[in-house]
Amino acid sequence: MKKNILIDTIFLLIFFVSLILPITRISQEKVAKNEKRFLNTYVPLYDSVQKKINFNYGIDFENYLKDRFWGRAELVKTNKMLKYHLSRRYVKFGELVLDKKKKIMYEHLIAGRTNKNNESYIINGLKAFNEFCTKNNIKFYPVIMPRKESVYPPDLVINNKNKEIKESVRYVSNQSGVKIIFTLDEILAQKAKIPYMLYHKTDHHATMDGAYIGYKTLMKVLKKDFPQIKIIPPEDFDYSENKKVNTDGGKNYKNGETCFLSGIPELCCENFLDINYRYVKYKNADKLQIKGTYNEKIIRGDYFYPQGADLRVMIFGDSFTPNLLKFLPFSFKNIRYIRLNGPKAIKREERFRILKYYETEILEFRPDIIITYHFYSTYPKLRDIATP
Amino acid sequence: MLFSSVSFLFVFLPLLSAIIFLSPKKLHNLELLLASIIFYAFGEPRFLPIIFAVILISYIGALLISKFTKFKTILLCLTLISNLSFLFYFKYFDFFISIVNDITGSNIALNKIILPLGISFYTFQAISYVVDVYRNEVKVQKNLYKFSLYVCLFPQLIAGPIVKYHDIAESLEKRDITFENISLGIKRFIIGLAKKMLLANTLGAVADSVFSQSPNAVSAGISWLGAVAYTLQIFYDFSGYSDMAIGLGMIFGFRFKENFNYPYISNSVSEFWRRWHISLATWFKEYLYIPLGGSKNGNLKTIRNLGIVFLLTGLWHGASWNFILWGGVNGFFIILEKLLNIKEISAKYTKLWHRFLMHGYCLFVVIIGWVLFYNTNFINAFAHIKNMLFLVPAENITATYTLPYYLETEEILAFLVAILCSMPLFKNILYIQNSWAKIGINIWLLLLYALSVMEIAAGTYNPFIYFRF
Repeated sequence: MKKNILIDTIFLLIFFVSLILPITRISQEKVAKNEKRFLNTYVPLYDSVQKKINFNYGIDFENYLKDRFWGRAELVKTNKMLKYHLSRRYVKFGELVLDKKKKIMYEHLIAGRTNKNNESYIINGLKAFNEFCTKNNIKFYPVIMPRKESVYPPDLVINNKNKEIKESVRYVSNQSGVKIIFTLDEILAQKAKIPYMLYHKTDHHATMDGAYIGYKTLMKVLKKDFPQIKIIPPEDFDYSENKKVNTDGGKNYKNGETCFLSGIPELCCENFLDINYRYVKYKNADKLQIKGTYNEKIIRGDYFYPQGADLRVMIFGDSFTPNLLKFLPFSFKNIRYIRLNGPKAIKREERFRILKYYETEILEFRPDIIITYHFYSTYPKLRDIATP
Repeated sequence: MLFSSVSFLFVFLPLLSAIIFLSPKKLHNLELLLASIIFYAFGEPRFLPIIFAVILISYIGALLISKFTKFKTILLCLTLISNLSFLFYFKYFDFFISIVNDITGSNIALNKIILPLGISFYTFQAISYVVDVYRNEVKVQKNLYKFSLYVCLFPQLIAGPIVKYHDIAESLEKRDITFENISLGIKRFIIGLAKKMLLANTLGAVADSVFSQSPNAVSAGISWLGAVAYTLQIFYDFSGYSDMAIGLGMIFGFRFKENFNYPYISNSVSEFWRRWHISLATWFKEYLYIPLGGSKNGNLKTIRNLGIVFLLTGLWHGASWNFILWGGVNGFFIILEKLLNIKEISAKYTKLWHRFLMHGYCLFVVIIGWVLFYNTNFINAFAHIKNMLFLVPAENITATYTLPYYLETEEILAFLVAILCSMPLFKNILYIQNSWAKIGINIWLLLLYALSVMEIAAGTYNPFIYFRF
């Protein structure tokens, strides 16, 4: 009996100590680097500035403590490692899926057709923007790059909805009168011919090879309206290889964003980064001039290439665009690039409001061509491009 | 505040435990009452007046009933109407308006009323006390703060079990906090937490992954997988919470009755309802079924009474037609079993394959019922059920995912453990006295606790994947 009491006493001690430990040290970090977000801050029960009680104190306190209790990072990592080792093939962290056999990571499994309501808004947005462009003698070319899951469908997925996605884009193109350049078919056609991955295994971005197909598809369409445009052939580039990921055109090669977001990069990245990706440099790049604004990456840049076609181009894009800019500037004398998810001053939900924030600049710059270039995840955002 | 939240685990529970264990007994009730109010206010401060109103109405109502026995029936009715009016307004008013709109074709705007946490539980608890006073089954509690403690005692406040006043009246006056109870209570709490975090959440994800899809995107087998996953999820979620509540009650000297008794080993729907959410079934039996006449006035009235009870049981779970339908389906089979005299049949047919058939029948009804319970959209619910009954031709199904999408090692383990633990194989594991076995069990419990906390921590990991722009 005494022995049992001792056994239970030890048990209770361990339990209560483990209850108290997490609040013995509260993290004072502002940012969770491996989650790419700000950590919740403490909100007091009584707001001495506004002189009122915070009735959401319980929720605020829970959010604050959830983000900052001692041991959180280690517990999260241990949990993920357990799941990783326990899984036979597929490791699921919420929507993020790691395929241990094919050594590829996905941030989502499929992209379905956008719903009918959304389609009508996108149609209206494209129409209105196209009207603005036509009025100002500008040709408008919206380009959509497919998601990785459309090109390298996860084995978990039987129906990856590519057909529905293409139908949606075709429908919106027809109804709006604006031809959307959806590069999926061209990328799928080239996939078997090119011995390199067109999308990164541990990142959601297209590789340089994938981006080049996007570039070529776009240029073929542009050439119909502007025959003077030159499409740079693959032989005009120098190639290098690297197992790691570089999608922003900078100097750093990393493990890839998806790997980073998995929370266990040290565990799996070496395994998953098992093939080489191709990186390019234009042979005659020395004549290219870039005047850019940097924020870890170029968020807006003016590209000048004297041997390019005598046309002014404005391109609005997201993180897929820097890879395109390895090719595109060499086809035109002057390109102005504006990254839509760059400027922090613009609210996230408004970043695609091109006319609202850039109409004056467009009218001053007077481009011959406006291109929007992004991937399918942000396709619904086209509804906002003409929103005031 | 939820029992599985970090605020509860790492702040509220250790702090309250320290206060209670280190303070004199005479302060315990007051400390628990304040703690319960803080517990509730932590998430829902604006709804504190509602629970206070229910407490006050029930307290005064019971006092008046015990004092003015000549008018006790009217006083009882007034108290019940007052208490139920809160429940009706917050839980059922919008539903009622939508029915009126559907019937009359009108377009009365819904108020989009937010449901106060636990209102179904504490209202029923308060009503049970008032009725018991009316029936002279319990002595009226003249001390307001002790009565308040009964209604809003935090372990059972937001998700039950529905505690009868009679069961804890003595504990309110005098109770001991013993080492044995603390130890058992903590162990029970850990088991409940593990049921919720390790089993219910894992199986819930499987159920959601099936039912979030259109019914013609899943095969019959996958529909069954989703239904069984949900059947297990709802059990472990609810019974896990009950375990935590019972465990917490034990820590602070209260003994709540069991709320679940291995319902999935039942051989009839009637038996299932003697084992599932026992406190609610008991409440409806004692405060509705028996006052309506029970089964004492012939078959027709019995059918009527059972029908009313089960339709209202469904409605209690949620203000939506699918819950009422679920209640109705259960009621239908209970009525059928009563008419066919299932008890006699069970006693007569005792061979293994008889038991197997009856068990299969019970599980079939229960699982189909849960599909109705899950889906507020009838069309989806019936489409999934049709799928489960193999009534949809294979060519009409375009599956989106392969089997490993739903079942990886973690999910398979969760299913196996959940099925094993749904049987009374480990019923008395916490009461084993052999020292070596005890050490092993304690280590196992601490491991379960660690895994549960890891799951809680993992739930706080929230990278910005979704806002790709």
